Amino acid sequence: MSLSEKIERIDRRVLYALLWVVVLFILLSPVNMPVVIGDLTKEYHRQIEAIPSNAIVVLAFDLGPEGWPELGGMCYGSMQHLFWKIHEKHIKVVMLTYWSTGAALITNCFGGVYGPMDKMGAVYGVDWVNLGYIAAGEVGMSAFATDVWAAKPTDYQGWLVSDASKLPIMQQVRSIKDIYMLISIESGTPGFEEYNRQWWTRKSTLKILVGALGVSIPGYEPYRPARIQSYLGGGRGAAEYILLLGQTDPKILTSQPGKIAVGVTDALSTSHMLVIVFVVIGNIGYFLRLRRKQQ
Amino acid sequence: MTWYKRREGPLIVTLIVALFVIFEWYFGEGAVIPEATTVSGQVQLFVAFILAFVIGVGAVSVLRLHWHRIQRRKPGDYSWIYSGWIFVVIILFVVTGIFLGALSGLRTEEPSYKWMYDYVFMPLSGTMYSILAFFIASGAYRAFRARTAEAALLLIAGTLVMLGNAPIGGVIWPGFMDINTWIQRIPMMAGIRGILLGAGIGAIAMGIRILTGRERGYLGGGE
Amino acid sequence: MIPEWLALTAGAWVGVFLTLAVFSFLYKENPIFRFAEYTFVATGVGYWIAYNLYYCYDLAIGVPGGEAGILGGQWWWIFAFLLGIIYYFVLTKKYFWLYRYSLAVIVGVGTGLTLRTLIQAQFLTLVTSTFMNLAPTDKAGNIIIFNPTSPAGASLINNLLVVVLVVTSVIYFFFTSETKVIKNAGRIGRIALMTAFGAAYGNTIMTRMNLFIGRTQYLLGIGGLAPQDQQIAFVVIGITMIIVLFAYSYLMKKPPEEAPKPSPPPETEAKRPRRKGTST
Repeated sequence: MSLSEKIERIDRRVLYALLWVVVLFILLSPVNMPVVIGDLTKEYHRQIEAIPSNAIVVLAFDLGPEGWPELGGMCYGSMQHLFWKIHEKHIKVVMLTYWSTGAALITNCFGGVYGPMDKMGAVYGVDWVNLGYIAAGEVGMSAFATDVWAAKPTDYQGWLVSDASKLPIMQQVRSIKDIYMLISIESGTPGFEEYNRQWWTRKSTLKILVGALGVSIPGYEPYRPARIQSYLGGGRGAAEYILLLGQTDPKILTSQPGKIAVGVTDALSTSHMLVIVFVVIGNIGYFLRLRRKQQ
Repeated sequence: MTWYKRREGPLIVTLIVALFVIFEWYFGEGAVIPEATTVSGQVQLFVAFILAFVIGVGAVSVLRLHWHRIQRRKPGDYSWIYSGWIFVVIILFVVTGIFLGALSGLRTEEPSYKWMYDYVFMPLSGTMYSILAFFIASGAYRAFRARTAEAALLLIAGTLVMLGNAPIGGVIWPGFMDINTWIQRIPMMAGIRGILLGAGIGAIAMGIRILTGRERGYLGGGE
Repeated sequence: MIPEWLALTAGAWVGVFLTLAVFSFLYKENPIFRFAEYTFVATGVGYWIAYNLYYCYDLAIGVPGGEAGILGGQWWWIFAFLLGIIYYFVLTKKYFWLYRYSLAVIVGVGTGLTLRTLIQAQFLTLVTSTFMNLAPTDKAGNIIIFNPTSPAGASLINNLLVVVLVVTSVIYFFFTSETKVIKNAGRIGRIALMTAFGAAYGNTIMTRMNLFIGRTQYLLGIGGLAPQDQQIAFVVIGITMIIVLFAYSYLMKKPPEEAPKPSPPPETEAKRPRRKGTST
C-alpha cells in the first residue's frame, strides 16, 4: 500500500482517539493561554452597563441542554450582571423562555445549583421575576408582545401575574412597549428571527443582545448593528465575557459555568489545531494520489 | 366525498384566519378597528394553547409504535425490551412532573422531576450532540479536499476562522484575529445576507402559496 | 425524603454512565448505546409534557382568583379545548379530516404572523443595512479608504465590498441568464458564498468541539455538581465499559467461513453400472 493510500484509509477510530487524547491531556494540564477580549464582547458588556435606571429588561434562556456547554457561561454571566445592575440602577428583570428545556436552566442558575448567584439583595416579585416557559414559539411571542398578562397568566411557580401583592413588578409589564432591552441566549428556533418579527416590529427602539452558538454566528452578523446591538459568539465569546465580568468580581471565575467557560479555551485551541492538521494531512494524501494517477 | 371532508374546507379556513391576522396588523393597532386587535390576540392565544395541548400527539405516536413492537415480539429477539423501557421512562416523567408536581404544589420544580432533567436528560442531550465533533473531525480528514479553486477558498476561509476563534491563533500571530474578524464581518456577512434575502423572498412566496391553496402538503394525504 | 448527598452521588454515576454509553457508539454500535438512545428518545418526549400541560392549565382553565381562563369567566376557552381535542384525530383514519380544521387555524395564524412583518423585519432591514455610506470619514473629515488598525471597521473598501458581494450573491441565486454580465456577477457572488460557507464551517467546528469539551469537562469533574463522584465514576465505568465493549466485539465476531470441500471428480464410463439390455 502506498503512502497516500495509507493516509486515506486510516481507521476513523484512530482519529477519534487522537481527538480524545488531545482534549483530555490539555484539560488535565491546562496552560492558560491568554484570551484577548474582542470588541463584540466589550460592546455586549457596555450595553448592559448602559441600561438606564428603572428600565425593564427581559432575559430569555431559549436553549436546551445541548447548548449548555457553549452558552452556560453566557447565561450565568448575563444573569449575574443583571443582578449587579438591579442593585446599582434599580432596573427590573423579567426572565422567561420559549423552550421548555430552558426553564429548568433558569431556575438552576438563580437557585445557585451551578454556583452561588449573588442577587445583591434583589427581592423576587419586586425587582425580578421568572415567568418560566411560554409555549407556542412565535405565536406565543406575538401574544406576549400584545398582552403579557394574557399570554402568561402565572409565573413559574403558579403565582398570578395580576396579583400585585406577590408580583408587583408585573404591574409595570403589560406589553412589549414597557420593555427596554431583550437579552436572548439562544440555540435555535424560536429565537432572534422570531423576536425580530414579533417584538421589534412593535417597538422599534427595543435593544437586542444575543448569546449565540458559534454555528449560529453567520445568521446574526447580517443583523448587526441594525437590529442586534451586539452578540456573544460561541464558547470563545462566553469565555471573554466571563473574564470581563471577573475583572469586576473575581468570584464569578470560580463558579461552575465560569470554570467551564474559561477552561474550554485551551482545549479549543488544541482541538482546532488537530482539525487543521487533519485537513492538511488529508489534502496531502489526496494530492499525492492525484500525482500518482497522473504519472 | 362530502364537502366538509375534502381539503377545500380547511384551505378556506387557513385563508380566512391568515387574512384576518394580517388585516389586524394594518387596521387594528392605532385604534382604527381596535376590536380586531382584541379578537386577533384571543385567536393567537387559542393557537398557543392548541400547540401546547397537542404535545401529547407525539407522545401517543411514539407509545403506539413501541406498543406494536412489544406485541409483535418474536422468540429470541430482545429488542422489545428497549420499547418497554421507553414506556417506563415516559410514565416516570409524567408521574413526577404532573402528579407529584401538582400534589406538592411545586409543579416542574418537583425535586424528582428536576433530578431526571439534571442527571438523565442533560447528559444524554449534551452527549448526543457532542459526538458530532468526532464526525466533523473525521469528515475534515476524509472529505474536506481542495479539489477546485472554490473549494480551496472555502478551506482557507475555514482555516483562518478556526485560527481566529482559538486563542492559540492569537498566540501564534495576533493578525489571525483581525483576519477572522474581517472575514466574518465583510465577505461572510455579505454572503449570508444574500442567502437571507433569498430566504425571505422564498418565505413570502411560500406564504402566498399557502394562502392561495397551492401548497396543500401540510394537510396530509387523501382527498 | 432522599438525602441530598445520595441524590448528587446517584446523579453523578447515572450521568457519567449515560454520557459514556453514548460515546460508546464511536467504537461500534452496541446494546449499551441503544439503551442510551432509547432513553434519550423517551426523555425527549416525556419531558415536554409537564411544562406544556401546566401552561395549558394556566391559560385555559386558569388559577383561582385570576382573570384568565374558564375559572376567570372566559367561557370561550371551550372552543380552544375543542380545537385541541379534534387535533388528536390525526391518530385515526376515519376522522382524520376533522384534524385538518384545527391544523388550518394553526397554519393560518402562523402564516399571517410571519407574512405581516417579514418584509419590515427581515427584508427591509437587510437591504437598508447593505447600502452603507461609501465615503465614511474620520474625525478630521478625511475619507477612510481602509483602516489597518480596525480592518473590519467602516471604510470605503469594506463598505463597497459589502454592497458588491451582497448584490452579486442575490444575482447568483435569482438569475440564470447566459449574458456575460449576469454570469460574471454570479461568479463574484459565488466567491462571497464560498467564503461564507468556509467561515460558517470554522464556526461550526468551534461549536461542535465546545460541546464535546463540555462533556469531557463533566467527566473530569470540572464544573459538575459532584466533581469527585464524577471522576470516580468516569474511571470505574470507563474501564468497565471498555472491557465490556471489547468482549462484546469479540463475541459478535462471525466465525471464519469453512473452506469449501473440493467437489468429487466426475463419474467415468467404466464405473457407471450398466443396465441389462443397453448397448453401452
